[in-house]
Amino acid sequence: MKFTEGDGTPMEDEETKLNEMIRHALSESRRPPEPPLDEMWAQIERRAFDEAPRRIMVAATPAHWSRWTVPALAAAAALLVGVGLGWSIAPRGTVVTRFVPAPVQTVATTQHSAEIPSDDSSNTRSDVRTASASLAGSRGTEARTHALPAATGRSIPDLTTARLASQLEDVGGSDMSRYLVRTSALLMSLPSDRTTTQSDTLIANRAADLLTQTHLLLDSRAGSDPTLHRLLEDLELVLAQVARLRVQRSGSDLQLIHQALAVRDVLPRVHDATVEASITD
Amino acid sequence: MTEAHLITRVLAGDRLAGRELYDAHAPRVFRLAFRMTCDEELARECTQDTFVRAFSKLDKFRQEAAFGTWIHRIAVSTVLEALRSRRRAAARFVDLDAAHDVETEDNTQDVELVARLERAVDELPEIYRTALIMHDLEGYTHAAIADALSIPEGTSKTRVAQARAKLRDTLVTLRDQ
Repeated sequence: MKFTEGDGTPMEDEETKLNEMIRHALSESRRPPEPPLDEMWAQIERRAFDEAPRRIMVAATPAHWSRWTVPALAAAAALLVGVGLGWSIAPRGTVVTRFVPAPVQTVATTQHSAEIPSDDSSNTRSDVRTASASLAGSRGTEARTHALPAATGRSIPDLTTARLASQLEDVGGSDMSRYLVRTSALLMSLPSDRTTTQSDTLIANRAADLLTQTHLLLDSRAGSDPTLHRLLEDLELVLAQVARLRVQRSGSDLQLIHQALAVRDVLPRVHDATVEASITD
Repeated sequence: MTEAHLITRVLAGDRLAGRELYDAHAPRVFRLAFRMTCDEELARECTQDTFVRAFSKLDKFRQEAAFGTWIHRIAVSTVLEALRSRRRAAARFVDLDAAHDVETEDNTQDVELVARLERAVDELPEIYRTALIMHDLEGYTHAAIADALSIPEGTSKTRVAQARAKLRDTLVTLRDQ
């Protein structure tokens, strides 16, 4: 039987035969046993209905309510409570606000100082943490309160931090999907060798941008899932390496990045997380 | 009773409705899990995990796609996650002793052929292996694979074709020896 042409490639009709042989051989060798349906169901029933009954019985809402009704009502209730609290504790006639411009491609956090400058916003101190430097330092945006000058004796939330924290809490499945798709696209577009340097700056800038988002996601509620958290940590590392390409690039940089991607199974895991995010979205 | 009704009843805590949904889809989910893992226990765990995850997220299922499509998407994701985290991929080769149980022609050459093919399948990159098993062994359409893996249909076709090409190379090499 002839399987190949002169150059070793299978002939077209032989290709079909080979495909059929492969399919037959594999379907025989990987023949599944009868599924133990009752046994598996007993486990599923215990885990899904007995151990987590509240998760299953969430649909006891009127049929005409949309999927946004409950979250919208919850948000409205939280807003009302917040406004009420604000009215009850805020000193009359005193409005204290601070505005810190958010730098591009950086994460702004307030310093660990306990005091707010009393009157001059130019004295506002902020610690601009660059993307790569953040790897070495502490991560995260801490929601803190600052003591007002002794005259008032009250404390108010740091508005910049609060705003950022609120953004973090708002990260939903679709935001996560977008982030993962963008990250995946960037990592797949990495050049395989050091000959191409024109797109380095563009790629590095995007990586820095995504690195910032990674930090935000790590600190968000979405990042509390252990699997996702591990993935985000790995992405943080890889993106930091890519972001460094704009400032320095040795011969082995790209190789190291590709190794990190392969060893940590990053792209397949990003893909899984994208699917997961689209399931929960 | 339609699947939409069953889903509504499951969300209200009806176990029997859950069992009906399970009976309709579990055999295929289990078969796919087994084909991908070659490990009965792991396939069983993955099937269980798939349904537990599906039931816990049922309130988020928007019924724009069929329930079957949705649950297979969860199944693929669950199996791949399990394979990676348990690092069992390397132990999935069919060894020659076990291959005697395989119902192929009873000669050494075929046993070796199957073993080599198995090995070649396991050596395929995950994305190609998954598409090949789903399409060639479990009969999923490219549209269903595309949906389960969140990839374009054309990509699914490409992956299956490339996986087959790799296996054909293995087969040809073996025949030429």
